[in-house]
Amino acid sequence: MFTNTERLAGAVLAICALSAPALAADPAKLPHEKVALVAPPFIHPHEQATNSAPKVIEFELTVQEKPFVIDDQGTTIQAMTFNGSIPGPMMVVHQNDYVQLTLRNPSSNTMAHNIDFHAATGALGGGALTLISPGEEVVLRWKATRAGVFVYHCAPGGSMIPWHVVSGMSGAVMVLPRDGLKDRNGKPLRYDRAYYIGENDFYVPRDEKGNYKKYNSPADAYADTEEVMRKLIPTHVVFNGRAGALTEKNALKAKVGERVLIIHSQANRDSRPHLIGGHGDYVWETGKFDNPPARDLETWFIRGGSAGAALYTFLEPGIYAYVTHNLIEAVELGATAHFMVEGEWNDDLMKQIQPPRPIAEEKKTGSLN
Amino acid sequence: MLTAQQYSPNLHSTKGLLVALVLSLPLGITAGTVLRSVSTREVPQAFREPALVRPELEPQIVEIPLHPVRFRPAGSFSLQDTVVDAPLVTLASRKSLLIMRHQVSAAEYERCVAARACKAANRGAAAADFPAVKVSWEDASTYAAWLSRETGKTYRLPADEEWIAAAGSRMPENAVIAGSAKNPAARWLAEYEAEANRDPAEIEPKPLGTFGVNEYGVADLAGNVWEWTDSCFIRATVSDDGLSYQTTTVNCGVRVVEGLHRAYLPNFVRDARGGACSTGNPPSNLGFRLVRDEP
Repeated sequence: MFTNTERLAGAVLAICALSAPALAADPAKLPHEKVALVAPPFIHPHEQATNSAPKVIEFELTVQEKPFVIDDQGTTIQAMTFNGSIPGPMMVVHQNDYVQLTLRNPSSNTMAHNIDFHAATGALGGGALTLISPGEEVVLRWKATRAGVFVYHCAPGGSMIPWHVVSGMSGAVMVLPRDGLKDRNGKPLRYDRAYYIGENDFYVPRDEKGNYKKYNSPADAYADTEEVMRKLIPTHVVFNGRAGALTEKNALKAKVGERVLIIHSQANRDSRPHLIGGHGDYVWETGKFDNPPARDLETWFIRGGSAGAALYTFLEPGIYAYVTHNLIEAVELGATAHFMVEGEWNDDLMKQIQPPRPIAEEKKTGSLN
Repeated sequence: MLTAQQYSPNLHSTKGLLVALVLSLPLGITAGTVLRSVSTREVPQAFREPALVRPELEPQIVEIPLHPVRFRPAGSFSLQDTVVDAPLVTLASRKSLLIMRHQVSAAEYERCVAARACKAANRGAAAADFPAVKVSWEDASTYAAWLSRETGKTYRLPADEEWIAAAGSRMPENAVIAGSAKNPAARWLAEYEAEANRDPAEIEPKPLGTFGVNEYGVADLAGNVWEWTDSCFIRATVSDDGLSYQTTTVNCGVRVVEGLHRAYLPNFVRDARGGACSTGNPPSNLGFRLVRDEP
């Protein structure tokens, strides 16, 4: 029924089918693009929706162990950082891009480090393939198969894991859907600005007088710090590495009418962000963009070990505080950021009908009774 | 019959000691050394034993010469329902002002604590020649009352305008903040911007005298210790011509604090670093100095 030619052709086709995986592009052969990272709360320039085909995006992270001041009283920790900032910088790619990271651990450091990408699959998020001693570097490539914002952090093994994380060694990536963010109906959602707010819990030991201690090296700090960590009560909860880091001259800016994306990560501990005076118009509380965003939230929940994203279009000008709504942590432990928003006031949304004045009844009778 | 000069008891025997004790009592009274119980109840000034007045507690005083004071009063002011800056007013002084050269020191405050008249400050022991800090308005007022009792003079916290009179060129600039009736946010943004651009004060208290003296010889004004005044937070309405005002509400639960900038704090707060009522740079330290009223 089949001619010899047909049988041969069929055999060739069968062989080709068996080696079908070779038909998928070898990521090494995809276009590579180098992206320079910027320090938080800012994010490197990126497309929201993209027409380009998947690429390999190359990033570099250098581990820096260094003293880091975490409040206005000069409290200093022996911090471990990615690229010198707490949190480490945000990396943005699109779904099905590849992230190719060069991780460097300069000889000036004292400890081994690695990186665990919550967005990656296998090898402890990459941790098992990136453990490097001082003086070493390593290159890891992983496929960004899932869309969302995800934490990354150092995880060198055992007790070192929590210690490195609460010493500042975490950051986040954003894997955008190739056609950008959408609401539950598939309508595109585009942002005019984006900020990345990384939250950290610190556990700083105190001396007998109650003053925070300072140490000469991470190794010196370890034993005392571990004791405080085990009690699970942080001495500081801060945004961008320091109490007040995103306030005053470094307050976040926006304008009435602008839609702002606020990405919030917490690599270790639960948090409940709240924008005082505003809302979350669209919130991916769990941070994963294949889930439809929740609408109109007053406060959202970032489970420890994750990142979330919220969109808000500012409607009134003024000062907004962005806090974790355990208000003790917000005010006493440092977890407050400020937005300065310019624009016209809208009386329809809010108006002071009568300014404060003495109570009329009390004036007449001397009391309300 | 026996006088002390004629009889020298043998103090080496018990009997001798007893005799010496009996003889010493009348001698003791005439010599003027009095044994009497120290009462801790308040004794009105007029009845204070002159012998119990303690002049060694008197602080160094500077006399501020008579001069008119031009300033913006403390509180919240509005003009036709819009919050505005307080108007500039000029106060003429009728008598010269006697104010402490230095802030009350840790050592001075400690004497009040040792006398059990003041609450111990909740901090580690501070060096004696440092200003007393982590002090609330209540603490400061209690100290002033104690010092008045001990010295027989009237010491009290200064009123806001008295502090400003003593501050002279060190008076903080209370920035003129643009406001807008249609846009309350304009003033919030302008206030925030002004606060954000202030240089933060150093946190750790410094020895008295570190910040120098002003033209009147008063030390450490507008350093890194904010000083309590006795003035209460007021709300007032400004006249249409913007030149005068009328107070509508007084809240003495909140008092005016002066330093590098003016702040308003609840009268029981000892440490404003958490922020209390103000955004921007909160007072690094809370302390005080006193004025003395002459009768």
